[in-house]
Amino acid sequence: MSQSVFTKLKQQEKKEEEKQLGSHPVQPKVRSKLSNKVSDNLDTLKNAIGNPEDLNLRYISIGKLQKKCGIAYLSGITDTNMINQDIIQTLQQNLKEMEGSPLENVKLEMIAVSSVAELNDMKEIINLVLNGQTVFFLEEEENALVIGTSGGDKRAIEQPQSENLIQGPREGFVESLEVNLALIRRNIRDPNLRFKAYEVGTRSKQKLVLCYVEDVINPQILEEVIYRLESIELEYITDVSQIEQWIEDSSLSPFPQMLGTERPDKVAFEVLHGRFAVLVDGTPFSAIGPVVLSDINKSMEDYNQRWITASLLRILRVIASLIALFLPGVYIAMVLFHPGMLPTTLVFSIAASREGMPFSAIAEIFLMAATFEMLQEAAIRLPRIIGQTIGIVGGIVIGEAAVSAGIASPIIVIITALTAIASFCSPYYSVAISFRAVRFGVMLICALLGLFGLILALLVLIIHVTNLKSFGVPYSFTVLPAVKQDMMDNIIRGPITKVEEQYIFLQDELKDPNKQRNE
Amino acid sequence: MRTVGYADGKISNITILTIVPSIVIAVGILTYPRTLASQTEGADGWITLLIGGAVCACSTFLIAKIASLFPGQSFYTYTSSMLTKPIAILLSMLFFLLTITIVSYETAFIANISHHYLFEKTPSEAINLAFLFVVLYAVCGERVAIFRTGFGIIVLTAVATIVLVITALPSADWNRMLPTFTTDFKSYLGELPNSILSYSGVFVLFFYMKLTRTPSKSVKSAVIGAIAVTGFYITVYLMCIAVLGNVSTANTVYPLVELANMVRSIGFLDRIESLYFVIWITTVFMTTVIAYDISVLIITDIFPKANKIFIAFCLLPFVYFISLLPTDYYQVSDLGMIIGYAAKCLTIITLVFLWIMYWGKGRKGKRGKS
Repeated sequence: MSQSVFTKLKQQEKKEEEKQLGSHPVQPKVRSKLSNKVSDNLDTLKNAIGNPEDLNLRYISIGKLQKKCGIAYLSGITDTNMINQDIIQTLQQNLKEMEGSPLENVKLEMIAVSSVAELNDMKEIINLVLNGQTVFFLEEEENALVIGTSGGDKRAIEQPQSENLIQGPREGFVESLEVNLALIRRNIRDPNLRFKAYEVGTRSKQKLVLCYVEDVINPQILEEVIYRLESIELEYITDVSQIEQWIEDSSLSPFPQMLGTERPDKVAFEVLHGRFAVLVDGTPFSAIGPVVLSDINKSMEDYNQRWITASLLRILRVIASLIALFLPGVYIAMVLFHPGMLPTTLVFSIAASREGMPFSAIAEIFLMAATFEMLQEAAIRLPRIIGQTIGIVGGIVIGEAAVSAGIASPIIVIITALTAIASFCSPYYSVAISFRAVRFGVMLICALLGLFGLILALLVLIIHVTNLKSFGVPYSFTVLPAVKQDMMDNIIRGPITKVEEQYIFLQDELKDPNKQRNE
Repeated sequence: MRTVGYADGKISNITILTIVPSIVIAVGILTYPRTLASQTEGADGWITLLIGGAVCACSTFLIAKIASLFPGQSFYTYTSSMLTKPIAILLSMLFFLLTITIVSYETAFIANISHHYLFEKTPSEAINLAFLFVVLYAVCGERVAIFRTGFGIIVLTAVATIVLVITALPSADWNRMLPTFTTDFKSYLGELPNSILSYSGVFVLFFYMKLTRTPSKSVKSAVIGAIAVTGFYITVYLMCIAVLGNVSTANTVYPLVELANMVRSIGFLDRIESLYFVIWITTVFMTTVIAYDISVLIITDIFPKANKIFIAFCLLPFVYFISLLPTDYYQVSDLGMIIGYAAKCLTIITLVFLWIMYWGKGRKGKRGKS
């Protein structure tokens, strides 16, 4: 417990690194210095990336200056209009006399694109071309210009798919990092907002951005997350959740230690309250941390409704998560071990409904729970067009047929349905699915030890949560122990005038886990 | 930076306040109304409870005070500086044996009472083992996490008991408390050790005071904790007498569970005594975890390089073995009695030695200065 799984991973990682330096994929041998001949440079570039179909090479000449020059870019990930109009056209139509260095002239006067850099390292140039930039070579020059032309087709900004709100902004993140950053920036016009960029993915070379507000975030948390981000070694990041798994404190916990969201307003809100967000190019999800227990119950909706309604909704969600976790377990414990605790009439009706059932209560509820899980999984995997089928099939199997065939009793169907409804009340999908696993564990121990098992399961969960940490912040904070200043935005959401502008529990002095490790 | 201050392994005053009830309220709460009522008339038992509570508060003060005079030092360190090393090791070992036995006793009690109320068929060996594994899981984690859990459980217990008292009010018959002060002096005297025994466990402060952030202020918190326990005990006792009457309280094995049994049909649950029983299991659990943690703490204080988790695992077979020894209720309660006396004696001896040495040395120090 003293050493998190993450730390171990990290140490292991370091050892391996020491063993074989340069674990990066083998790069083709490229002469790093540029030659002063355009054709040579274009050939080197072509060979280095294997002359792919989408590589465009073009020789042009600049109006009055009778020198050969060439540009290269990858079509599809560049803005072709920009290249045609602002680079090729302006260069060709140039009729001015040049004084001094021609390259400098081209850079300063001709190219009508805002981002231009002068480089002479071929490897770097190749990387930038792969990122959608255009490279410009000029005869007799040992430097090249790299012009920011990245673009290409992007998905339009749409409503978030996984987090719906009744009231609130309708924008959701898209796959393009630039657009996502713009969406956050539009919400926070603060000079202290920081986007710290990293390159992740040894092959994919994706951009990762750590977003935070300088004067709000706790420096110790920031230090810790930067330390962890720098340790990432993955080939390709499919989604930000891979980053999340790499940098989280405990990989054995069912509780998420970062929360994924595709809402810019959510990211802006949390960042302003002292958290950080991680965004990766190529996914509409961002991950927010550090997270504590009460956060998995919060939705942005809560802040957009009036406080009494919002608080009641939060309490409702707490009850729903308790039902989702414990209801089947409680049912098993009651029916199997303590029927005396139930009201006599209920016991009779349960007994009557179970009469003639071929399976025991445990087998029955496990069967129904497993069916429901499969149904849920199938509904996600099926193509949307035939997705409705599963609804009908599931409705008939779970609702009607199982009961009339005498395989499941009606009360089991009610329990399963209630559990399902409750588990969907969670604002985060990642929380809902991890609770599913916990639920089965609870059911199992209740089948073995009844109510005593239930209380043991509850104790184990409490102990686990009190031991868990998210980026050095104890997971149980704001609940156990309660933080007085944060009471107003916790299980209830207090009146807007009473809610603190920042999370106080994040602002505290934390003992730096980093330093502890080095000692 | 604003500081509530956390994650540094130190504990606050409120935590100290909750540790005292966490360790003191254990299996005793289920049984003490019976032993008390059997010796006293009417509701007179509250007097001995009050005296017991006063003794408890005094000893809490003395323990917390002496420990707070050595801020940041472990029990082993300050006893060896006061009483020489061999005596410190001897005392530590005695406390170690005591805590180990407490763990076993509580576990045995849980298994016994589970048989009584929850299930008859499941073998107590399995119940013991499952319970001990959860205790072990708690001990292997952070120490602060134990206190956080304890805090939650104490709040839960307090709320549950308040609800119980309120719901039991309609069935209370206040005439059962009468007549008052009819018990003779001898019975009070005879009953007093039992009452004092109900409050055992505060010796953990010898070991935990080194974790507090502000030792001098924590003493007050600890005493408040002890007073809270006294209030809690007296309330529960008076409720038992008012609802069940003196005679049936004296003749019920677990009067508190019976009290819950009197409260019927709240909401959709018919017999909520099992529910309350489950809540009291958590308080017993907390006592067990703290006792286990103390036994591990004693070892790691003496051998600072020892691995905490390794020690915790090594202790498990012994604890499990001892917990299987008592076979029936009477043996379990005998074991409880022995533990209670042992804890009291050990605490008193340690206290007396420490305070005498402290005064002696303090005078010497003053003389040396002047």
